[in-house]
Amino acid sequence: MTLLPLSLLPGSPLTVTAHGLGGTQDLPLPAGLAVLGGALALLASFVVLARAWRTPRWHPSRVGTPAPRPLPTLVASPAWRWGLRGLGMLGLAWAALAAFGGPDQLTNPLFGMVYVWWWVGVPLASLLLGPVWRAISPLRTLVELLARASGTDAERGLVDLPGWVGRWPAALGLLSFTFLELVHPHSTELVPVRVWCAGYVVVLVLGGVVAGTRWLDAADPMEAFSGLLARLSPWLVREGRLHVVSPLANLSAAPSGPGVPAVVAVLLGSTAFDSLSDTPSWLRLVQDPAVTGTAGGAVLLGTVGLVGLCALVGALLAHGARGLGTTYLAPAAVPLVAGYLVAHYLTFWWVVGQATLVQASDPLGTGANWLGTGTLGVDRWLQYHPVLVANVQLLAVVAGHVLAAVAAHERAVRVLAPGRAVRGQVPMLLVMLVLTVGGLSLLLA
Amino acid sequence: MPALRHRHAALLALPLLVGLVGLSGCGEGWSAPVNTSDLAPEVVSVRITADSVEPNGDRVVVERGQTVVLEVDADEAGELHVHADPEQHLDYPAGESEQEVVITMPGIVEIESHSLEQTIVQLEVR
Repeated sequence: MTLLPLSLLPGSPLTVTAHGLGGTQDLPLPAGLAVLGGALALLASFVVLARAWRTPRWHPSRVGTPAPRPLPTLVASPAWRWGLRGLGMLGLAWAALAAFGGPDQLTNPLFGMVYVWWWVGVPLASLLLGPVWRAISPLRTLVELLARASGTDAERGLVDLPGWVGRWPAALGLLSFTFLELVHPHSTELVPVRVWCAGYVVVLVLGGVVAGTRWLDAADPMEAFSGLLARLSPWLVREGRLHVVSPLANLSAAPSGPGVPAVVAVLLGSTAFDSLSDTPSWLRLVQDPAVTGTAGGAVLLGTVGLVGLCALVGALLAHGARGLGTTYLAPAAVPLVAGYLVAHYLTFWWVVGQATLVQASDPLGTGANWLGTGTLGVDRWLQYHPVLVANVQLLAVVAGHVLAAVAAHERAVRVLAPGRAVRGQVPMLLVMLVLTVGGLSLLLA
Repeated sequence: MPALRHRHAALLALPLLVGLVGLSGCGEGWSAPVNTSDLAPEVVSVRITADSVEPNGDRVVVERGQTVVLEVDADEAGELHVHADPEQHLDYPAGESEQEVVITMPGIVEIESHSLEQTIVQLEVR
């Protein structure tokens, strides 16, 4: 939580605080029946599912119906593909302009572009539209262009990645980003953000030259994040053709593999840490003179908290999935990630996202208005309706847990013998209850 | 098959309803803003030394528009940052002084010591 000196313009729409950016934060959710309601919803759905849903309903290789014309032709066309790629490259160029030419002030749009548009906006868009980042990723574009220039195979590159790599590099990338956002003492100063972004581009593009775009599948934290949430969208590409699919059926086809549980654990654990680090108890702990008097004390404590919560969530989910294998985990975890994403970031995305649009018109801090958005205002209607926000947050979390229970159940009746499907899910039910109560309690704090 | 699906949909709606009954408790505790001119100011005593600040991250509940008076007792002059929208900066002198803050938008607003980079209080504006 660092402030820039007085260079900050008065009346600037952006200030620094939770999630790195933004001024006023959401009110804590009122306690009481909320936690109980969440837990009851989960228990009730488990009982209902156990009685009424005894056979698997979706086969991963058969779900969905072909999308209506002309959508499949459109999204398969080179113009669509390269149009989206162009958009991504433009975004990267704009960010680079702000990162290397813009001022070290909160009015620099880089902060909002990274922390809000990219980190929150891309996953939210993926919930509605499918794997957005894979479609626009400028890193994919750069790797493919470099492969084309050097005459190598863009997908395979020069070397094969061993099978155990899975999504582990992406999990580490996600952890490094959440460290920057939530623990780094200077997360809203230009240099650390510029360094992280430059490192992200260099590691992924160089790795992509060596191991092809398969490296991006393995290592791009945003492809992992956006790809997971895309499994709750109504879109699925199967056998090279766009299908419309119910989100639950889409979820049932969610792939898993090495590192996927780690990706999920980091996403959920870091969100929990973000909530935890705003509580007065945590503030008192890290602002204790014994901590502030020690060099690096607060960073160490924050790192321990962040990594500890990610490990805790990972251990809980692994415990819940034992006997079912980790393939059980991905479908169950995606709705949880989505629920907490909406609950945690809705106001932040709406308010700071708008402020970023205003600032993006002036990436160099010269007073320019290149996009014509520099004179727009920031609509704060949502912030004046805290009851609505609180209800949306609670609904998102509870719906996330209920959908998770449904998806996990579908997977269990597919994987387990009929007599064992219900019993085999009990550990996961208990874990979900712990997560519901823990997650809501943190949002209530 | 469609009939079966509907039955399942209805069954699944039940837990969501249970959840929503739980959620409906949310309206309580979110009273509409009262006539804030009648409210006595909320007074918070703040002690700032070269390396510490008291209170140390406490949460104070206030109404929208209610005046918050910070009674600052500081060893050296300095600056408070109020993380509202837009951000406010309050300069205080060495010794005792009073600073006033009024927040009209609901939410959590942190008041931070600029030099120590520490949160003094979180105003929970309802």
